Amino acid sequence: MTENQHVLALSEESLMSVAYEDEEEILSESERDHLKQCALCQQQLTLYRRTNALLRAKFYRFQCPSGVELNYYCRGMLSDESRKRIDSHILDCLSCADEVQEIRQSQANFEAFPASTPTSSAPQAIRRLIATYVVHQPAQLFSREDTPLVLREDAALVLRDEAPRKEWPRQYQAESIDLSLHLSQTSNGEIMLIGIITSSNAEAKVSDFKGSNVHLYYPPGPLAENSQGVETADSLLSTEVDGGGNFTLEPLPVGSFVMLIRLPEQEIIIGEFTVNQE
Amino acid sequence: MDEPINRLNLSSLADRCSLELVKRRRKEAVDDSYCLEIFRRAILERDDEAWSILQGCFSENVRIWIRSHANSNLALLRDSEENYVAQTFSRFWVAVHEQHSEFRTLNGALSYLHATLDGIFRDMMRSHRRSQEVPLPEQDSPEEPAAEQPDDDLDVWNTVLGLLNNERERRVVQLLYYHGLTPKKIVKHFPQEFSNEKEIYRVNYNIVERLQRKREQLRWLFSR
Repeated sequence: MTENQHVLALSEESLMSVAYEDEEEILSESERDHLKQCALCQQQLTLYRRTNALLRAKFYRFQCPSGVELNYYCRGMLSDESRKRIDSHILDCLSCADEVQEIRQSQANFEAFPASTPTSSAPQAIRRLIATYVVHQPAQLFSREDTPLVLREDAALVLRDEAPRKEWPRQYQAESIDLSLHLSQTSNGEIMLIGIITSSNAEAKVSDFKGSNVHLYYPPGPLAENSQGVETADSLLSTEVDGGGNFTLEPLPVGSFVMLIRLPEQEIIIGEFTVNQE
Repeated sequence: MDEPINRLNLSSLADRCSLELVKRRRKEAVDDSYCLEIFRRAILERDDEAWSILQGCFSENVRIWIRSHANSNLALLRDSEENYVAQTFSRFWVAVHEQHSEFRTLNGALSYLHATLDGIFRDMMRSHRRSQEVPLPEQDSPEEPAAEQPDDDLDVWNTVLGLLNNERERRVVQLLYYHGLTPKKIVKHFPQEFSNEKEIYRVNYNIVERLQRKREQLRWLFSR
């Protein structure tokens, strides 16, 4: 190794410390300035970092039992021979001893059937789909019992746009999920939104959607996330899907809305739609 | 009168099992015997169809465990959810056959399946840690490894330890490179052995110097 004779040259010990720690914390300002300018010190530092990295990549826990073995060990599912081998290994191996503790803790908290809704620590795990608005259908009114009542040309609930009567019901599609949204009136004249979820996947049952949450927001609603990627919007109305894949949201004010449906395997967002009352 | 459970055909058994699982998820009272019978036929009778049904019934549990695992985000960057599900069942299959496992409770069977998934994630984390460490090769590195490359990692390890001067250096190598601890953590965990980080930097410097001097002897290590 070449000797660096420069008066400000960093000692080998200092250079090695920079290989592990943030140089801002370790070195003085003048040492940092020297390191920036000195090719020899930089070369030495690169050599230390590279050697350290090579050795760790090669030897990091290369003789430890696998994570699966440690899990089975903690569950008492190993043969006597394997159990004794791991017993003896963890006496000397602090990494495995720590890992065994963690695994035991995790196994003590094991839940075979946890809630299907993911926790906020894994928000990306559930796929979020934006539903596509597919067709216009003739206006229908539904009773509270979800039975089609009558096709009416003079439906009380319409949208104020160029073709108001053709906006409802609205059909949406997200992969194999079909959603139909209908407007109706409650007995006291308030607006009620009825949703019907079906699936074109022959293996999926509508009853699988039972209990799924449906939330209605003012825009942008769930489309707006804070810097941590966590939804911050409060929903205006919420309900659950019943065993037949149906849900109702009431009383619905007039205005524009965004809807989020949390199904077991995906979240479906219904982009902005508007409801007016005449 | 109901047919004995071990005489039910697989299709009926699968239907009953699915029904019980729906009840389970609704927190209603359940009868696990149908699900356990599927485990029994899949594992002890090695019935392929029962094994497929078992995977169909419990894949959703594995998916939920994956999504709620502490290392889920990193794991899903490295591989797909479907591959983890497949790996979990595959490793579980090998393990239960080696152990001739028979489960008395559904919770016991599922906790074994969950242990398999957790182990796969832990192995993934170790592999991730190693792959993060692999540096770019030096420009003047020889392309081909030397002929005397040791047969396995243990031989390599013993060769490296053999080049060191004393037990202290061997201990530092073990803590830094085998356990992947930083000097700061070594001092924290082993204050009785190391009084400060500077001491570890000094020993580490001597180790790196020595290994670099033996570079020719360790060509197979430094040329990777």
